[in-house]
Amino acid sequence: MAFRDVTNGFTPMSTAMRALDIGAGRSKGPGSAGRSTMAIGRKGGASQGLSLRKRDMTPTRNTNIVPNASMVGDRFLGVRMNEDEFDRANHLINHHMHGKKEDSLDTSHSAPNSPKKELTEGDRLKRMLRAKSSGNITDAKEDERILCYKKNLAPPPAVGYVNQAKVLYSVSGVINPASSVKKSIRNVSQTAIKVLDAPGLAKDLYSRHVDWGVHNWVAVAMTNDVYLWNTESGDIKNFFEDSPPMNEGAITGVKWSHDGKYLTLGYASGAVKIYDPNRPRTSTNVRELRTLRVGGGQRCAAMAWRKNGILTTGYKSGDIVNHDVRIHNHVVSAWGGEAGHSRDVTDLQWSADESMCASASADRTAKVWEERFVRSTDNSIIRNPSPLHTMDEHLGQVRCVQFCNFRDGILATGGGTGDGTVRLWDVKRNFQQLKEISICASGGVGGIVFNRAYSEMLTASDDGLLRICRFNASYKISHEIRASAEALMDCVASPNDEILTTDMEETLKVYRLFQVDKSTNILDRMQPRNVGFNVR
Amino acid sequence: MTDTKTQNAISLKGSAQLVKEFFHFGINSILYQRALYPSDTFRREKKYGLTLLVTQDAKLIAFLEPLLQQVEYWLSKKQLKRLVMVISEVRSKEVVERWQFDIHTEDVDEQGENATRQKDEKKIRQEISDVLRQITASVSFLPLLEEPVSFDVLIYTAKNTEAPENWTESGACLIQNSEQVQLRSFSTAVHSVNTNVQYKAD
Repeated sequence: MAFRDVTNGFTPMSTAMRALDIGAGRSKGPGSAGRSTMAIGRKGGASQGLSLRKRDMTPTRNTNIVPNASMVGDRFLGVRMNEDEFDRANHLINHHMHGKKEDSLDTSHSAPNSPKKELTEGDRLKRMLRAKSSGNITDAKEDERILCYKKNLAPPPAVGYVNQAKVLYSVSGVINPASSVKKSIRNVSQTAIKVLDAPGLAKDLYSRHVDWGVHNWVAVAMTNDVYLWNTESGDIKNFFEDSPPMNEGAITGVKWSHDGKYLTLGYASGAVKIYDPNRPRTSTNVRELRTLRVGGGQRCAAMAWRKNGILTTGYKSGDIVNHDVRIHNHVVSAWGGEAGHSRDVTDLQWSADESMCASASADRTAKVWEERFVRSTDNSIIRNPSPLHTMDEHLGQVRCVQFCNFRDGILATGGGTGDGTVRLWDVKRNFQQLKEISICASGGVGGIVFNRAYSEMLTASDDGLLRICRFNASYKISHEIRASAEALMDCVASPNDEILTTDMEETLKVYRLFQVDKSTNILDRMQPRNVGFNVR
Repeated sequence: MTDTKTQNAISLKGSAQLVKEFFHFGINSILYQRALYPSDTFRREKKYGLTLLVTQDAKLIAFLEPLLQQVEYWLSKKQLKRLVMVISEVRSKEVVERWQFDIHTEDVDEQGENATRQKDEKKIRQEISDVLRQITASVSFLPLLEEPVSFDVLIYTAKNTEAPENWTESGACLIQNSEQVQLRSFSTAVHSVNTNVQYKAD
């Protein structure tokens, strides 16, 4: 009988031997600890049969308090420092479980319990076990004090770091395996599906002329006037009904809120006005809700909404101001001063989780700001905090920034005239430069759009070309589309991944470059789509 | 004969060093296993016959080093009764996990006759490695940390212990309605350390 299958050979004998082995072999070291372990084993062996009948339940992994702990094995076997504690626990359990039967003469533990009982034994046991961990047993004793080392000052992980386990187990699709998109041939239509004439479009590379709302209304700013164009029905409306406000100067920035309910316009005077397109016009104002003004701010071109009513605006002076549009004193923080930008802020983007804001500026830098500097806890205005990081590698003005929406933690910045590159930064690794991609030798990059379905990056540049860049190891430019003979000014994506461009020829063009084949499962992977994030 | 005898004798100071080392690897293991920091900021290190991961983030090292030194000091003065690593959510400040190390110190003098205890160091290392192995294994039952989390280290000491710089009085940071899992314990014959982890149930 030297060889035998012991998988099912759980005789009482082997249990006892195991218990002995635990005591003698492994935990003999800790002095008293080893002995008490052995005691647990023996006790279990002696009373096992009785207690099984008594409780008729499967022990949980927390049963190290229960006498018959040997049944659980030694994986989470506790070590009691003294026997008293152990006996007390035993007493408590028996006392609670068989509450009324305190009469020592009544030994009929196996008698059925009263049906009026409110809690099952399991519940009681659980309650007791749980109470132990949150009760005063874990707390400090009378003669003890608790000290904490540098409370709440543990260094935070790199900004934007997401627990990898969370990425693995959650369905939100943060990681999009690019390898699953196998495309041998990718046909890109070279022609625009719609071309609109926009006479009066300001020829200004530092202004934002168009924005595509989630409801497929495109707002187009033409110097002083704004037109709304519905891309589904083709309707075009004059937003101000032929009485545009002239006192603030030209419109330099256009932005829809995430839900498309509000339209925000930035003016050359530095004023930022919020409009509700559904509001009826009054005698003085057309659909205006409020005007946000800050002292000294000139020309507001860059605007970015946070989901909770905070509007971040960037000015010609280089200042970035956060407005809470819901309260009277709307300025909650101002990012400027020595650590801020020294010239025009050209673009602002919040990351998808809104943990950081990237800003591009004509002072040849891009900066990243942390969410915690948006609003102070005590209602005071936060002034001139240090940015999380400054990227000064660009050789010209930085004209646009964009967070990647399919690969976590990548920030792209586009350089202006004299630079003509897009640089990719790893947000999680202290903004290391991942890649420098030369886009346009003769001019700058005016817009960057990421496409989730194809894992591609689209750039619009001053030479009038749209370029598609694969996001794989080489970041090679795979397609070039001639969108205009002149420089492209804006490049925005619609919720359905159409691309809208404006150019110096005063035209708007819509391209469908990222068409997905509905017969394949690519569409499935796009759900849930992060609506609004793509929209500038 | 005398050689082996001195090798197996453990003094208070030596024991404090061993326990500190355990905390060093224990805290690092928890930080890695519970993914409080990106996994590529950790480097591998062979110890106790295991491959353990230790942070190489300069900021984190600068945070942990003085902490562990103070812990070692208190251990050698027999003042440390418990060390608790509290993991709490950054936004809500809610405590979600609590790693508790209860320390029991034998009655050993700092010098003189009663200054040492006998125990094979190899054996101690074996016991420590068992605990660290369990910490690694605990990932399998601990709930996923969905929100961004941070950690704090609490120390239970005697009332008369002076709080050095950077140490402040604190509450116990207990978890309401928690589950508790007892892990193995080890002993250096001077200090015995009993580990358990509490976590927020469902």
